[in-house]
Amino acid sequence: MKPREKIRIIVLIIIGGMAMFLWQKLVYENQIVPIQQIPVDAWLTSNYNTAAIFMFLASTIPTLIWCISAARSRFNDGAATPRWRLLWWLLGIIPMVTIAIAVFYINRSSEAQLSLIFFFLLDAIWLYWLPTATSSPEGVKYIPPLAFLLRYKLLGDFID
Amino acid sequence: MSNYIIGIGGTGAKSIEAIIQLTSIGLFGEQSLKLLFVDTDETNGNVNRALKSLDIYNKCYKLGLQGKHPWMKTAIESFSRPWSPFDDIDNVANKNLAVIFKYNLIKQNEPALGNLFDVLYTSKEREASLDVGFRGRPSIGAAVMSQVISQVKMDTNDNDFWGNLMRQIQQDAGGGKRPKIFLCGSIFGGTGASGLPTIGRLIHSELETLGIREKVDLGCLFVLPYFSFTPEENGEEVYARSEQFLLNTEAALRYYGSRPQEFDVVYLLGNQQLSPVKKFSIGRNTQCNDPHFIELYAALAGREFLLTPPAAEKKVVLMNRENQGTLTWEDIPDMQKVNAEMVKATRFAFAWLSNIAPELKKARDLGEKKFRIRVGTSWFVKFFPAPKGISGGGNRLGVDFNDAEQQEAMEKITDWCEDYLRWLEHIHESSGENIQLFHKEYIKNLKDDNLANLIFEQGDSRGQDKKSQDTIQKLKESLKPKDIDPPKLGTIGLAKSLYHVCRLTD
Repeated sequence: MKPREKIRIIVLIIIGGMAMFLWQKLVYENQIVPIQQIPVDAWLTSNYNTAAIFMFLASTIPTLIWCISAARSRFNDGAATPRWRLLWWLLGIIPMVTIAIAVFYINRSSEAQLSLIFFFLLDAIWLYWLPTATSSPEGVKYIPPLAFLLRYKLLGDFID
Repeated sequence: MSNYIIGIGGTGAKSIEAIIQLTSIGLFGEQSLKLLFVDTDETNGNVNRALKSLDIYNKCYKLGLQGKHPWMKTAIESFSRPWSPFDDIDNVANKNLAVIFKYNLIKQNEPALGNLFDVLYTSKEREASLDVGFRGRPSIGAAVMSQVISQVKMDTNDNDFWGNLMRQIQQDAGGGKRPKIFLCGSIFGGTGASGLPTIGRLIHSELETLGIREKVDLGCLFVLPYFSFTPEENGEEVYARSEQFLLNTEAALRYYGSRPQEFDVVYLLGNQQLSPVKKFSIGRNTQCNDPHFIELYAALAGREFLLTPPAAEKKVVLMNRENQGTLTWEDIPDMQKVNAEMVKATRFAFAWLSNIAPELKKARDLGEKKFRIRVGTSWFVKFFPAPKGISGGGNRLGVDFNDAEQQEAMEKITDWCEDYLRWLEHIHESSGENIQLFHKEYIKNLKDDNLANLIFEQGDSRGQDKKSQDTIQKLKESLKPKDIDPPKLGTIGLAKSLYHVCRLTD
C-alpha cells in the first residue's frame, strides 16, 4: 500500500472515531435528539458507549482485513474480480449486522433507535465504505462500489 | 549514413534474422542498417522468415516506441527483394549447369573442354535444376558464381541491384562518413560458400575503381559447419551432404588462406558439434531451419564489426566458450551490454504476451468501462484515461482505447514479441547444446509466475529477496507515464513504460 493510502485510512478512522465518541455523543448529551425515558448520562455510559465501541470495531476491522488481505494478494489479471467483490460485500455485512445488534440489543432506549440507526449507518459508511473506496491497495482500488467515480473522477489519483 | 549487411545463402539469411532480432532490442546502435539478401533460391524459407521478421520489426519501429532505451531505435531497410545470381544471366529458362555453360555447344565445338566438364561434373549435377539453389555443392556454386560475376556490372549509373548499392555507398563515403559493409554466409554449403568471397571480391574491386576503398570498411563472417542432416529418400541425387561439410570447409579455408584478402576483418565462427536439423529440405520454402545459437554469435560478430572503430592494423582475435556443450552468459562477448538489453527485451516480451496482451483483449471483449473496475487493472487507467469529472465530457487527453490506431499498435507489438520469443526459444533449443541464458521452458510456457526466474543466475545478479518481489503485478504497479518520454499514453506509452520497468535493478 502506498503511504498516502495508509494516511487516508488513518485520518478517516480518527475522524470517524471522533464523530462516534465525541460529536454524536454531544447530540444526545445536549438533547438534540431527546431521550427522556431513562437518564441520558447513564444511557450514554452503559448503552451508547458499548454500542459505539462495537460499531467502531465492526467497521474498522473489516476495513483493515480488506486492506491487509488485498495488499498481500497477487493480482496478475482480473480473474479474481468476482471473489474480491464478494469479499467486500461479506465484510460489509459485519457493520450492518452490528448496527442491528447495537440498536436492538445493546441499546435499551426505544427513543434513540431511529437516530442510532442513522448515526451508525453514517459511521459504517465513513469507516468502511469511504476508506475502502478511497484508499484500497492498487490491485483492488476500483472494486468497492463507486470507488472509480470517487477515486479516479473526483480525487483524480490515477497519476502516480 | 548506413551500414550495409549482405546475407548470402541460407546461413546468411539466418544470420540476418539474428541481426534483425538484436537490432530490434537496441544492440546495433542508432546508425541505420541496409540489408541485402543473396540467394539463388528466391523462395527459400530461411530468407522468407528473415524478411517476415524484418517486416514485423519495421511495423513496430514505425510506431514511435523510441525513448530512453535503445529498443526499436535502428532503422532497417531491405533492398526490394533477394538478389539471385540468375537475375544477371540472360535467357535462362532452365537453370542448370549445362544450360548456363552452354554444355552442348562446348561439347560440339570444343570436345576437349566438354570432356573436362564431364570430369568435373556428373551428368546429374549438370542437369540438376538450380531453382532450389546450389544444392549445398560449392563446386556448382563456384562455377555459376564466377560465370555470373563476369556479367555483373556494379556501375553506379545503373539502376539495378548492385548499381543502387554502390551508388549509396559512394554517396555515404563522399559525405565524409565511413560506411561499413558486412557480408555473412556459410563456408561449407552452396550459395554462401561460393557467393561470399566472390561478391566480396566484386565489391572490393568496384570500391577501388570508384577510388573509395580506403574510406569503406569491408568485413565478412564465414560460418563453419554447425548443423547436419539426414536426407530423405526422394529420388533427388544432387543435394547437400553434411558429411562433406568439413571437407568442403577445410578446402575452402586453405584456398582463401592462400589468397590476398579483400576484407578488412574476417570472422570465422563454428561449433564442434553439428546439430541435426529437424527436417531436411533440398530448397524452396520448405528449407526453413530453426534458428541456432551460432546465429546469435553471427549477429554479435556483425555488431562488433559495425560498432567498433577500425583497428590500425589487422589482428587475430580468438574467443571460445568455457565449456563445450554449454553456453552461459559468461561466453557472450560484451556480456554486460548484451545481457542488459536481452534481459529487458525478453522480460518485456514475456510480460506483454503472458499478461498485458491477454488483458487488453479482455478489455476489448468486456468494454473499457467494465474492465476498469476489475482487480489489478489500475495500470490500464493510467494509459487509457477515462473522461474526467462525474459527468464525463470526453476523453481528457485524446487517447481512445477503441481507436483502430491503438488496437493496431497492440497487434504490432504482440507480433514483435511473438517473433522475438520464437527466435529466442529456438536459440535455446539448439540440439545437443545446453544454452543457459534464459530458461527455455519459461519462454515456451508463458506463465506470469515464472517472470522472476526467467534468467539464468549468471545473467541475473539480484538477490533472492528482490527476485521474490519480481511479479507481473509489481511490474504493472510500477508503470508510470511520467517516467517515459512522450507519447506517454495509449498503447505506445504503455509499451514504453513496460519496457522501462522490465530492466533489472539491484
